[in-house]
Amino acid sequence: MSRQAMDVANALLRLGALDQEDPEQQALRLELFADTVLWDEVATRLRAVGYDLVHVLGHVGVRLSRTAAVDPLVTAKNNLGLDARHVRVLVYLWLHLVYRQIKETLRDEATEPQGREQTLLGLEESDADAPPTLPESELFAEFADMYPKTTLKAALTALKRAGFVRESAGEFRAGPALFVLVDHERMEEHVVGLARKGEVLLPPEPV
Amino acid sequence: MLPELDQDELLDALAGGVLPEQLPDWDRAVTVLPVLPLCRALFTSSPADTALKLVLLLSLAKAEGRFTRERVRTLLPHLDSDKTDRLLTSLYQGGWLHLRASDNTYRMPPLAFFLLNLLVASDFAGQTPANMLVRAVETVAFGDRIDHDSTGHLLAVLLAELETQAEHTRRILAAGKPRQLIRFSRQEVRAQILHVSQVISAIEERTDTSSDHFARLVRIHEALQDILRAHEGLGRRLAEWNLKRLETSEGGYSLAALGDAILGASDDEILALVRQQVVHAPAPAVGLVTRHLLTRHRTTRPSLKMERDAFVYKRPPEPELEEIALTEIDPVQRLRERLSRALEEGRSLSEALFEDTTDFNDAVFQVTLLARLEGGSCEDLEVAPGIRIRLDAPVVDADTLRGLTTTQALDRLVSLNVLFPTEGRGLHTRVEVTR
Repeated sequence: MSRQAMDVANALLRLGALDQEDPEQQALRLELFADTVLWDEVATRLRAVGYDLVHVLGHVGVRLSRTAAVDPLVTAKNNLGLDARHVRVLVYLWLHLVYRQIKETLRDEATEPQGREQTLLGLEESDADAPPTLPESELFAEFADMYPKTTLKAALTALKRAGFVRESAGEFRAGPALFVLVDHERMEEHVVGLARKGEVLLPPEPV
Repeated sequence: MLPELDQDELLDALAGGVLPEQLPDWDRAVTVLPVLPLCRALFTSSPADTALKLVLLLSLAKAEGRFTRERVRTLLPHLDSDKTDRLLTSLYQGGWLHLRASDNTYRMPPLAFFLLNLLVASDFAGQTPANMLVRAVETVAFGDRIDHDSTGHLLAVLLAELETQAEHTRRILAAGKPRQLIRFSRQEVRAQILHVSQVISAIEERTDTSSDHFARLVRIHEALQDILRAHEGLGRRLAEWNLKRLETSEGGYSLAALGDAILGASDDEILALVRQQVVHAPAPAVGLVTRHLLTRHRTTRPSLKMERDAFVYKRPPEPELEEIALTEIDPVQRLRERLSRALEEGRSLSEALFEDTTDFNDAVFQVTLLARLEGGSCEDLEVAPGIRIRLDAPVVDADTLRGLTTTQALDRLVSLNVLFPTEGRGLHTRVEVTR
């Protein structure tokens, strides 16, 4: 185990998820990407203490591993301090800021864009996948019937503090925690399950 | 047949005093010129004209024997006969067809036949990222088989492109966006690199290990390895993302429908996400569980005790003591031994004093050592039982030598009768021996 791997693992445990807008953390992220040996060493060290090194759509961070999370003594401390309102907003933000991004990426890949110059291995410099955003007004309108504005703002403040969401100029963007701390596959299953259940419960539409 | 080059036009294009032959790759460029009339005749400004000419040529290439104009019209009944005549005339004038005057029949010359095959085999329309690398290396293999002289050039081109790509892949892997990574993963790089390695190995077998080609081949292998490593790292990263599984678990619902489902779900259904660890803890959780720690401590302590080896006292080894040879550490003792040996061998003590002396500093050092020997034995020195020696020279005040160069100091010591020049042996001093 190299000294560098220990330092990186410690930094990740301290930071949770690396912030792409912080130059130092961005440098750390690129260092991890460029050195696969370092990546393996850091992942091994974190796994030994019950954490997974996670990489989702370019975001890097640590989260409690599934095996460590099953211990009730550990999970007792893991309620996030979030209630149903926080989690509902979080899931809604995940749907529009992360899930949409994943789907767009995959859809772009399924239909190869035409007219781009390709190199020997089909790589290209141009890139147009800017991260999706959600206007504040749209979010407030969606939740208007459910929560008062002050409750929604308080929930958003808590989510911002935890790094799940960022806000600038009236637009919400996904924070690194929304990529790293969410199990996207199981989240999708859960949300699709909710949609399926709602569909069954809905009365048939009149013809 | 090489088209004639307009020398004036060439010289106008070159810097003053430079000849075309001095241009890099000039010889190679000139070798392509024989197909210039053919290309000019085939690739006209009209794509339709070029396509029709190619149709005609491909029909002729597959047919046997020579062709009269009537036979060509029979081979291509779908073309207007006037158009066929115009195409034949144009191709004949461009060198694609040779006319035999005796019977007015045409035939494709070998060069035209080869160029046509080359164009068809290249399958320009079928180039995809998944086969471009294979095509690039097959071009090298083709060049290597047809014209061995072109191998070096083609390898250099391939190497430059591969090194660029290796650098690019490293950059993509380090900071690439998801779209780029996924696209790269679909290029079947492993299969392509395997093919390239096989072709390169075949060329390698025919290449002298000391040639420039071989160095390029080694660098090509290195670039391929770089690309392969990057591709492997990429595959692992994509697997970590679980993107492919997400793609297959599409629920068939729009984002709006899923959003409505979230808004309509009960609090319990929403909080289940936290209970089931779908949303993980943002801050590091408890690192140590006391109960686990105690259990581990209690279960491992007895086993550790059993594994501990019994302590057996062993006497430490006695150090080996030897008498210290003074000659090894004290230069005065070394001088004493040297003088004693000289005396036993009947050699001059003066010579023995200065043996191995290479310069003035050494000589002064030896005299100083002799003085210390004398000082250590009061006035004289017993070099052997009953045999004593002492320096037989006047005492010189150190101030008399101060500020002098080496040569001047030696002259001064000679003039003061401390040193005596001896023919062929340099400078000596006198030693008085008492028995």
